[in-house]
Amino acid sequence: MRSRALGWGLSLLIFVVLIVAWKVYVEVSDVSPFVLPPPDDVLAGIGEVLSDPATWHHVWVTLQEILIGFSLALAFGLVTGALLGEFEVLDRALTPYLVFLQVLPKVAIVPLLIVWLGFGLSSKIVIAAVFAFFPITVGTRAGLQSVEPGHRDLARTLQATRRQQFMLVEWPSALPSILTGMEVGIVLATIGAVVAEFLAGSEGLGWLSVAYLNQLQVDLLFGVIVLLSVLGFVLYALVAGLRRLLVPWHQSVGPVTAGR
Amino acid sequence: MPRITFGGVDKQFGEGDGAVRALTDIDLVIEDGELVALVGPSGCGKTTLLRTVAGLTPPTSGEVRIADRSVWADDRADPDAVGGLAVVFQEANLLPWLTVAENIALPLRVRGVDKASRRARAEAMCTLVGIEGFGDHRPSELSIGMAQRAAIGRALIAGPEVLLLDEPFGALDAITRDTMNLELQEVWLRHPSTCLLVTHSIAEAVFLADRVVCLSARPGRVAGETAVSFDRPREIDLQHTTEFQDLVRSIRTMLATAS
Repeated sequence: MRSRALGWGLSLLIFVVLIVAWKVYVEVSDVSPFVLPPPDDVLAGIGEVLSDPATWHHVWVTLQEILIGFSLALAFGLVTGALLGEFEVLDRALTPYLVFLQVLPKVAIVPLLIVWLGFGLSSKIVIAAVFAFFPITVGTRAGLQSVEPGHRDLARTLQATRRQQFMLVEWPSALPSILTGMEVGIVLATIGAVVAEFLAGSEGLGWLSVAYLNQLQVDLLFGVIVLLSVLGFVLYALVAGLRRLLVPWHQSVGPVTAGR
Repeated sequence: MPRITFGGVDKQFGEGDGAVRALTDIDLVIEDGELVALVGPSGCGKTTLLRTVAGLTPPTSGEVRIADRSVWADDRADPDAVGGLAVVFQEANLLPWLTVAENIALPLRVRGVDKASRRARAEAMCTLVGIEGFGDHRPSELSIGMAQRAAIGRALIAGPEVLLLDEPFGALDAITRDTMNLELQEVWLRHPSTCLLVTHSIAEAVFLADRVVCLSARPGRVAGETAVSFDRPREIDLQHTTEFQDLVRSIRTMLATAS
């Protein structure tokens, strides 16, 4: 309990030190406010961004892109990962393509997707989905392939059907790994949506930050950045919170109470 | 009537130069209702032999039968042959996402028994194996000994005709082990079944079994067997009698000369 309070306290202290260092640096170094505005200006900028009703429209646009993109990635990732994890032939046949897709810098195919899908929401959604697809697929596959051999033996000696083996043993075993994939996936979906807006947006937080940059309103740009990080943080926290709900038994959730 | 029959069972892992012969020419018959203990040095293939009956590891050649059905057909276990057996493994293998009671009731769930009667039978089983009141706990909250009790409960709940025990108490300390042996005997007397017990403890084998079969070191062969005729229920103090110790000594000699 004490170490916990200490951790929070230290966290807060680091934040204060960083802000103070920032303020001191701006005062001492005489850096141009277009490059680095002082923290108080940025705070005012955040206030201004938040109080502008148009901002909330952009938040909604970006949120939609992320959530729909992530949901698509989740659906396709679970199915692909399950197929790869369950059928060795498919795993061998498709893994080279999957790895190729992953090592390919996905930012490079963003312009291509924009050419194919246009400048509207759909291209941003698909880009967010492409970014999040891989970790979810790999998490699902890895989870299904790392079922404890003893649990497999047990299911076989119970004469469980193929379907029962999947539902009773393989799926619950894979869940922690799937959730890890989803945690990475939601972060990448956020990055994907924002990058797509940078490159070809007409609305959304990514587009808004480029717009402020072009107007040289760096304090407002900072406001958008803060908003984006809060958005990303909340989305990540929501997905990470699923762990407690779905796999309360797993070692990644809280300490083991007794015995082993 | 024979319940389990091994006829010329051979098992080889891998092929070519790297091949390891685990078992060679095993002939063994276990009668209905008999408790047979299989002892031997580690790596002699006793667990492999158990797995060939359990439908988990196919033999390279030879035949394994349960009652009058062959267990293996083209390296696939025949569900009708292995349907009435239950296994207790070295590790409890409880599923960590289920409660202890749900784990114990798992065989019933696979067979499609409804939830209410699963619950009731699991509770009764918890009492029988001595973990009353732990039904709603998570497996991670149990000690190794309690987890193994739950595993025994899970094996017994569907009333198996054949019970396979693969070094069930290997991970336990000597004191807990004695208690578990006593309780296993009690449970087995109440729910009789044909039982194959794999163990590396000669004393445990003599204490529990009707017959002790010795396997030689790799490749495992049947090196000899001894009948154990003490009356049941057997008390822990039996281990201190001369008859008991003579039996243990003769089995140890049998194993030593074989390997």
